[in-house]
Amino acid sequence: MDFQFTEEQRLLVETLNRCLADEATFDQRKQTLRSAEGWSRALWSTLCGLGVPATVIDEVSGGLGGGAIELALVCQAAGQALLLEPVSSVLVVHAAVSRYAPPAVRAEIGAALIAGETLLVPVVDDRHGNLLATTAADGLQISGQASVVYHASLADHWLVAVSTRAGLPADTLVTVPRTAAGVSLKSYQTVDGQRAADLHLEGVSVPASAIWVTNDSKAVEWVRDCGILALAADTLGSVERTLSLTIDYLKNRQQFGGPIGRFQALQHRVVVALSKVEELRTWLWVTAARFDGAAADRRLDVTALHILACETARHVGEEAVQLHGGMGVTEEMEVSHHFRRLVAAGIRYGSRDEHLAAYAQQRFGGNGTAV
Amino acid sequence: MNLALSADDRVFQDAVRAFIAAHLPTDIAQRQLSGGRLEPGDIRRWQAILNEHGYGAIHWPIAFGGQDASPLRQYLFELECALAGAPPQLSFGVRMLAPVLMRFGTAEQQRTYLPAILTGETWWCQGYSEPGAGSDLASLRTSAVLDGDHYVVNGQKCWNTLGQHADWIFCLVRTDASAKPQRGITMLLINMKTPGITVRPTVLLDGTAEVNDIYFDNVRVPVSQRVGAENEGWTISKFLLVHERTNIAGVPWSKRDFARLLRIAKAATRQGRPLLDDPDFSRRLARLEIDLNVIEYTNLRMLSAAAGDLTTPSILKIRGSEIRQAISALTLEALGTAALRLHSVNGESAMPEDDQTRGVTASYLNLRKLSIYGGSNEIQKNIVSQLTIGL
Repeated sequence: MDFQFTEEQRLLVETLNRCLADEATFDQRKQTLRSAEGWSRALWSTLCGLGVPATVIDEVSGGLGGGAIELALVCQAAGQALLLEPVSSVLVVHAAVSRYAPPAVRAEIGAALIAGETLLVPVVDDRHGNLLATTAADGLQISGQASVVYHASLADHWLVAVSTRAGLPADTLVTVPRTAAGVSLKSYQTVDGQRAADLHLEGVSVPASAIWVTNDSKAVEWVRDCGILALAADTLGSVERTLSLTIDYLKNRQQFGGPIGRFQALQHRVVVALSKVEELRTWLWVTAARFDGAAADRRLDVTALHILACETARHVGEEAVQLHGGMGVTEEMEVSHHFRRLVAAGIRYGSRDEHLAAYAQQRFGGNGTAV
Repeated sequence: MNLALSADDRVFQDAVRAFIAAHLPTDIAQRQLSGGRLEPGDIRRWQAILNEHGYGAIHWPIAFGGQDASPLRQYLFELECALAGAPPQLSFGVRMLAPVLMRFGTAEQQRTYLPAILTGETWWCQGYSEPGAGSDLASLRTSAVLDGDHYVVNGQKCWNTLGQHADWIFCLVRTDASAKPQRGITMLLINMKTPGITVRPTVLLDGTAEVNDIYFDNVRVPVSQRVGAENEGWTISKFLLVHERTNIAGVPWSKRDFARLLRIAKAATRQGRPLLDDPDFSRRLARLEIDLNVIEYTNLRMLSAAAGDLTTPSILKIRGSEIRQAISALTLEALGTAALRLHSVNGESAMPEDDQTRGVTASYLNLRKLSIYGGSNEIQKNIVSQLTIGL
């Protein structure tokens, strides 16, 4: 049993963190937030130069051949640095490329994906959407909506999960150009400063060549699980940074003639938060390390991971703001930005309660999902 | 990162399983799995069987009769034992005193005491806490005054676990009252039959007498029974605590208790419907299972780390105790009103020996101790805070 990262994995993290420390500072983030686009193409180019988009694409297609652990390591760094660039969205799709993209698709856009020139993001978090595909002459016709799709407005293409039968889970993965006829979108900034959009598809025709998989709800599940893994890793990075900011604040903020970190009431709250972070860390790496195992086991691991990530995000975020006192609720403090990222993390990909019900159902059967 | 067991570790695990299947007496297993109560005879018998088959103290160095087992193998061993219904080994000798003797004891002391720990012939207990020295152990006052080649010991120890069955006690005593509290402490090994020792069991809320007050009245202890140098006792006891880490989270016992919770929950009904159909209950059960799985891997992560993060043992103690207590509480709720029946009144058994629900309430009551002993959870939080905030 080995919990160590490999030398290559450590190097990946070091390189990325060194770059982010220089080029993704908090001041730069604040500038980017005020910009019209809401993300930095310059920073994205730098990340592409480091090979970030290639991380989880297979070696045959020209990528670096990383798996779930590498995906999580990159997303953890992105969360620590509060990135506004579509790193996690892109990596989730890229993880799916090696596994599900038809050879023709890989040949056609693989190089552009690796270079980061073509942006492809997932539309798979479909609990609020209802995208339905019907068979057309040469491919599919898709209609329906998907709401709050992260980074949809920045992307050139979307990897969309659609149902082929109304009322049943999505079972088809298909790429749709953002500019396809019949697509309309409303884009906005989310609570955590990222860009997202509501998508409306009205009889959008996609050719058979754009279909990655069909009649395979397990494939859709796999991509969604990658999304949850990426979000949990981003969350781990964010709570780690939040905790360290909070500890620094407690050491430095002077009241009653000394640092407030000497008060036991505050110290014990930090320890509770720290122990939740430690537990999330454990389960993130357990889930990543076993991600390619049996589907039922992976589902259980990912479900538990999402529950832990939601709870930890909410708990650590709220505690950090409280422990920062009045400063915690100001825009100028980095902690309030992490707090908002963590609020979003606790909501995306379904609620903690929804996942807990699913876990109970899978493990103990019975009528656990009845509300 | 690879979370699968190595081939060698799997061979070890299979061997342990086969050994337990062949040699764990069924009457002991039944008592453990139904009641979980510590029977002194069971513990001694099991230790003797373990020793006969080379499992007496697998974490000890081979030179002393152990297997030099890795922390992971120690965990696997304890897990298999716990799940099968083996009683816990008495940690005072095997886990606490023995490493101390190997590090600080004389060759003579090692020859005298270690073999009998391995065979289970000597039952050791621990004399640390006092009425005025609980979490603040360094303020202990039991005194030892040198008189020729003996120390004369006077004072009172409390919260002494299972000392009523003990042959020997390792004791922290004050040998220098003028030094700083931590500096004037010495460790002595004392035969419980020495004149002047009185043991008074304390009846606990679960009806057992698991702990005792021990009174020392001019008890004469040969200097040869001192461990390490005079006034070195605090250093020794800190060393001992570090060695108590591998199973600080109690995961094997939590897993055994959770298996019982599942058995009880699956059989339970409410208003004619299966308890597991109750979404509130099944979600609480699910959430607890997640906690248990996470603490297990956090524990494994610590065991496998080359240089462990110093805050982790305290976090494992806090979370491990919270989770085991939560399992016992949910088991109580799964039982419902059946949990109110005491399994014995004045020693008369009111419920059959093999009743799976027999020890549930007693164990819920008994396990309150987990967050109190070994440095209460609040003390553990102080330790973590010292290491992280440092104020």
